[in-house]
Amino acid sequence: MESINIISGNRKPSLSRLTIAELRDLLVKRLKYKTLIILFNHFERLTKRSVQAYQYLNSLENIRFVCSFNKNFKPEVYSFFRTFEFINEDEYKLKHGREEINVTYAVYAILSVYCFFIYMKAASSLLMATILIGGAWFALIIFRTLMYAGGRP
Amino acid sequence: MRSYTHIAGAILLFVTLAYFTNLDHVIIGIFFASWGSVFPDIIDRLSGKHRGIGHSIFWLIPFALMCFWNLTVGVAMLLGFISHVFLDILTMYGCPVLYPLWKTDFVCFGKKRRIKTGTN
Repeated sequence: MESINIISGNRKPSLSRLTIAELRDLLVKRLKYKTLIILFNHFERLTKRSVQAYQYLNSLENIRFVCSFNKNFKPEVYSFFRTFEFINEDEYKLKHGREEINVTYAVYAILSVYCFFIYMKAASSLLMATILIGGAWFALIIFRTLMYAGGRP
Repeated sequence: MRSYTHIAGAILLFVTLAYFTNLDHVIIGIFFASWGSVFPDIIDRLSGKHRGIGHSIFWLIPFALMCFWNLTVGVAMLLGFISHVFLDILTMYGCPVLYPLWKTDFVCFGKKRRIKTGTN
């Protein structure tokens, strides 16, 4: 309605009684050869019904959409989302990390195996192994006691 | 990550592995491990793209071949390089381990727990 009012110079005040389809057709009719750029935020708030109207407008040559989003959106609006291009693609990739492979478990496994072999090397006998584990456990208890008694910085 | 962090990581990795394998010439090894740990950044500085070709694991092949020439130097360079890539994986931006073939960054941990460093 706001777009129609702007295009038609606020000459049609009673738009609230019209349906979405009528508003859409009126907008196309009023637009003629002008180019309309529609900016909106919160793409994730779009519903299936509103997207249908937007997609029709988006298919027209002289209407362009610019929008922002900050949450995951509904799957039914994905077809509309695909018609957009990212302006800040690098920032998006950095924030959402789509173009990266997370190897956390592989890193944990490698570190665990490495520590295992170092421990096996250090513990040359069963007695030594027991003493080492006991020592490490004792040191951990001391550390935790100090953390409890002394508090965190 | 800064170069001194990589050098410290490489020395730690080399010393523990030297202890594990009873490797000879540890002091020479420490020197070359330190050199190997800054090697990726030197290559990237020459190529002009940080986290590029210098951080590719394909550099392991020439370092592995170096082991046939001198075991201590080869192993030290190899470990220095591995420690660099490993530490870079822990950072915010990760490391493109398979760079020329695949430019995707390999990362570790969730985004909030990754290490933020002074450099990229």
